[in-house]
Amino acid sequence: MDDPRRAATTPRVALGTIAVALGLMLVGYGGQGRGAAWTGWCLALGTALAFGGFLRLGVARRAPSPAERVAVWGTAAWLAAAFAVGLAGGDRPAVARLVLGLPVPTALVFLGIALVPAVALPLLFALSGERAAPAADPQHPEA
Amino acid sequence: MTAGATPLVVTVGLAYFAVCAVIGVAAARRTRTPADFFAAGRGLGVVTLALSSMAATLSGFAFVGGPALVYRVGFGAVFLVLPASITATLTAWVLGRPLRALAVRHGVLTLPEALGTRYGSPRVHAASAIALLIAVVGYVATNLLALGLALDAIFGCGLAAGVALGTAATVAYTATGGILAGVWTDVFQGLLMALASAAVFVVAAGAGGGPAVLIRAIAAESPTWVGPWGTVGATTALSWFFVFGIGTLGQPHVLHKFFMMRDDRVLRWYPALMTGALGVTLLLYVGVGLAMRGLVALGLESAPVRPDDVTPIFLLRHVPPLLAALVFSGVAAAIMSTVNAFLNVGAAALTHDLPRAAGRPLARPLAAGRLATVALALAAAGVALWSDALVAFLAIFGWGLFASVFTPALAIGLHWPAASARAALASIGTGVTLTLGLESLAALRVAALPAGVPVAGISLVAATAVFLAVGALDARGEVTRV
Repeated sequence: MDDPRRAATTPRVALGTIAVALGLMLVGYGGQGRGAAWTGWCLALGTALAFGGFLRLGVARRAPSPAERVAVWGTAAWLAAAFAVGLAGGDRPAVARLVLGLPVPTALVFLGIALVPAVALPLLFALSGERAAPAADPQHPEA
Repeated sequence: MTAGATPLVVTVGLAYFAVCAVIGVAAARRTRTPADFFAAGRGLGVVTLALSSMAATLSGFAFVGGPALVYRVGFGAVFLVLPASITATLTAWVLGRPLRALAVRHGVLTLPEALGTRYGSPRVHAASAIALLIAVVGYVATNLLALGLALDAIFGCGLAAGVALGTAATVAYTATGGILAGVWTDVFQGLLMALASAAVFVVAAGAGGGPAVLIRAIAAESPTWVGPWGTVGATTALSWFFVFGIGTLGQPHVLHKFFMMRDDRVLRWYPALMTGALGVTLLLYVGVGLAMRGLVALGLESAPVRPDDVTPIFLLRHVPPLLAALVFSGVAAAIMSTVNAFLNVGAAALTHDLPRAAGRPLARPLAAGRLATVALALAAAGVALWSDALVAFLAIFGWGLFASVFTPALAIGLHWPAASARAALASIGTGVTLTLGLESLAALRVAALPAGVPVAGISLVAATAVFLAVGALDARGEVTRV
């Protein structure tokens, strides 16, 4: 059941995370104009945090359950790790060894992002009790 | 698009249109109220919700433009669709229950109305409806042009006749049966798209001796093509992931479906079904682009003159004829389901949102909705046939405009009690101004962003930052006044 006291409060963690993510994106885009090498890392971390922040918004109305915490911060960490593998692996991967027909860094990035969240997130959502709790009124969140 | 007008393709195409017509007539008979027309009578179960959302999400781009992009730039193009592993859960978690609550408790039918109700502001209601209309005309014009190309490929009827035929067929069921006809046909169209895509992927996976042979051949020609970012580089690929992931929280033609849920329980398994349906249907996007590029690298296929010919050539030369015929109809299905969804939200903006925001709701909203559907479709078809340059320009900003206009005010605003109408208006204004301004400057070759920095990414980041900043300032003012 939604906790009305939490519902009426500002979702500080989510908004803070989104703000940090936006800052990183802006720094990344700014660096791109100067051809800086670190822009990809800023965009990677910013994008991962943006997903975490927006997911956190969705569960901000009440104390997040363990499943919800895993969904929120697990997604951010997983995306950041997958992007890091891609950035660290270079843009010309060796093709001597392939995984499922793909170069190793490409396979790790794609399969990591495509398969794990696609299976884990819907299950965590279904297990999170979204079904049981009646939706709070967005116009009157404290109701 | 390369012509595929064989007797089998024509027959399957005619059968496809016949099924759509039967479904449309059945739905039209059950459409009696504005809630039926704009919200499918609020009766969708989880399967209908997931399949219709998937069909509305994926346009012809998933079948034609997407594989062409993979062919051209490599695996970087996959970052446009990779967020599909997350977006269904993201939208369900962030927006599913709040939008459903607004529908039940306040009778909300549209996204602009949801914003107007949330902020208690007719100005927010009107501003978001106007922004939506700008993007809808562009989206529908682009898709009607693509539909014309697809129907020309199926029936060999010519582009203008294809646009006219496609517009007439889509308007026929959209104007009579509204979104109810749309979601019923979406289920059929979504199943057709998923089935065709999965079958073509199996063929593509075996082409040229398998993925390993193809990848090594491509890598010998272009080592960056097979890298995780493709030839576009990390900045562009990550920006696509950001815009097409987070931006999903602002797409009205998909989010609109949450108003149509039968009850809250429908939401529980929606992410699982929607993610699965998207994943299966997007297999063709990756498979055909990779297979064609590999076949060309191996010398087993000649390079297409235009990248958009990648899918038709693969279908006509490498896929069994019946399956190819099904995919040609699947392309039409993908486009028609998207056009239906956009026409419906556009008609709602004209006949429901703007009059209500002005305090003058229409006396006969159902009839007005039908008329507006026809008018919007005719306007968009006119744009599609009038100017290729205009269609190309309009096609660029649709997703980005929706993302920057709706994502901050809706996704954050519904969860942040202190967010003000002023913050919503400021972010909507920022999104519209930056998207249209920067795209216009680029189109006119006056100024352009650095390579790899998309307008949609800048607009979404800026609109969200403005929303947070103005919202925080207003919230601080509230505290001071208290």
